[in-house]
Amino acid sequence: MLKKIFFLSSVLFLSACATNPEGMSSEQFANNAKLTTGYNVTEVIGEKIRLINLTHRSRLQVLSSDATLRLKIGDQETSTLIFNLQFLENQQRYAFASINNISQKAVKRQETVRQCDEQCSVTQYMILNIKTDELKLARESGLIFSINNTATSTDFTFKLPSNYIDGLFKRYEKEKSISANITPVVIETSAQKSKAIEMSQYWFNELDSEEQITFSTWSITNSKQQSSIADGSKALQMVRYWYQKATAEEQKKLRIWAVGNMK
Amino acid sequence: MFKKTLVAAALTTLAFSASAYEIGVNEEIPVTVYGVAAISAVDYNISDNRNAQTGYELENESRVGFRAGKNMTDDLHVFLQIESGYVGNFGNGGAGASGSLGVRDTFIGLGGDWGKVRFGRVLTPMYELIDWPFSNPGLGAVFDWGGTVKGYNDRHSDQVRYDSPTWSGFNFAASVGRGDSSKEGSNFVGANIKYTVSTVTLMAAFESNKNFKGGETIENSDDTTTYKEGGDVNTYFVGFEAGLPGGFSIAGAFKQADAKDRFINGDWEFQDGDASQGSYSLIAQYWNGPFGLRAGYAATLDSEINGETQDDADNIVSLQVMGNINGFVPYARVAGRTLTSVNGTNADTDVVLRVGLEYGF
Repeated sequence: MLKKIFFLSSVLFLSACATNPEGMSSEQFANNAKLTTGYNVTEVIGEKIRLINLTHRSRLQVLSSDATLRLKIGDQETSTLIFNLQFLENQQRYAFASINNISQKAVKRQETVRQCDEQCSVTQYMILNIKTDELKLARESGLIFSINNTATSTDFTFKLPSNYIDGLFKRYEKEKSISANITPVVIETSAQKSKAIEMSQYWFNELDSEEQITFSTWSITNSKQQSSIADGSKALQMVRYWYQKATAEEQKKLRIWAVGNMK
Repeated sequence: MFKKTLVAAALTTLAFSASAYEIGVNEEIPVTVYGVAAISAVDYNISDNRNAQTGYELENESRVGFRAGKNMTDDLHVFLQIESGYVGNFGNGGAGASGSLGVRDTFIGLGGDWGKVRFGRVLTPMYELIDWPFSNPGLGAVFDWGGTVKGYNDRHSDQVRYDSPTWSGFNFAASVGRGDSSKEGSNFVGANIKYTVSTVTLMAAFESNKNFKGGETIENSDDTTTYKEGGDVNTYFVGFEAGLPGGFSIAGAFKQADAKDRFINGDWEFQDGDASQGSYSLIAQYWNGPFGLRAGYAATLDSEINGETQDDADNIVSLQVMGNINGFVPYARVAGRTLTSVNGTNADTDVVLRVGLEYGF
């Protein structure tokens, strides 16, 4: 039992430490990152790393700083940096971040804590929003940002290293490349679609569920007879019109697609 | 056996973790284990004044704690903290040295955009400022717990404390609590306010105690007992801290305690009478890269008891060299303590030497 708990504790330790990014390659960061694909966004989560401290004010003493980047690519083009900062205490707290001279109020992730012995330290837990485009530009040089007492001051300065940022993008590109190689036939880009398919799909999506069933039934049973649909909405007439403009092969694809995309 | 196993597991995790770490098998309420490793060797009287040198001791002020939190609603966060006393064995024998969980800040809190409120055992708003930066380096024997007239609580249970957010550089904290919950009328209220402009922070605080510390029960010679209330005491505090160019910063504070009817004296015993005493602390600090110097001077003024000025002023002068090396803070400190309120009007200056290392995880 003790061995088991010792083992679990060691596992906890391994996942708890922040990685020193020096000496790590972007490929290593890419391999260690976790990737999740959502409906319209792909998120790549890097491991927790130590940041490079560039603070030039000697009286601001950083005891530790670590960060985890959640790179988001897709419709939602804002990534997030989960950031922890521990410093020797002074009476000020640092709730603002500045990235490329644009200041933002950092989101407080959890309550700020203070612990004292002969020395006192303060730990702040925050989340910064970073445009994914800015991270793209920082793949080669890294991203420098500051954590500040006010929206106009510059206090602590840190660098998110380039190998870390580049590694997360590489992980995304690797995943994208695999997906493209596995499913070249199934995935059909809009540029490859014929006008007939595109319009048929558009008007089909405008139908209510009852009319979608009507259309699907008609397309399967009557398509060869070229019969019309007696009643129905304008959308129903339009989907029939464009369906009939499609080639036989396209009509076959559309019938399968329609059955699989009903409301 | 279970306890032994659990402790072994906890220690294993702590021994290897580099920073506070979230434990727990579900994500409903993440639990963080954290702590401080703090060890120092100290000799309180290397000059052997009064032939009273006792030699060095190792003070192990290491401790561990747990934090957890979860949103009750989108706008209401509930959090808690349980922190142990010093787990090391050292001689002062106070509650802080017991190592028991709950000895240091231990509370349940609610937080949101409106600030946070904590219920339980926390620092009082005024003591938080007295503690840091004004009682360091090694000035606590005068500016913290020292002096002839004790005037405030420090870390205290039975307390409700509110901390505001910061609005344009301004924030405040206020608390109410029981002095001794077993004694009627033993209550306190306190508050602090801080205002920051650029790198300068101005501070003020007060604390008002009724039936301070719950008074005492005195055993009479005829085996009966008499209960005497603790008197009322108000303490006022003003201070500042300023960051200067070139790695320098300075800080200073003054506080005044005014007790009515009874007070707790320099020997931590109740004494009848009205009493008052002022004290101040001055700090200068300099950092050059990872190396720092910190100098401090703190003094109490002569107290006044029942209108008579006493000859009991104390003072400490102290110098500390320290480093910040990969999150570790090693330090060495030498201080001269002249404690008239403890050692009499001809008190010598005791030289105190402390060398230590701290690391927060």
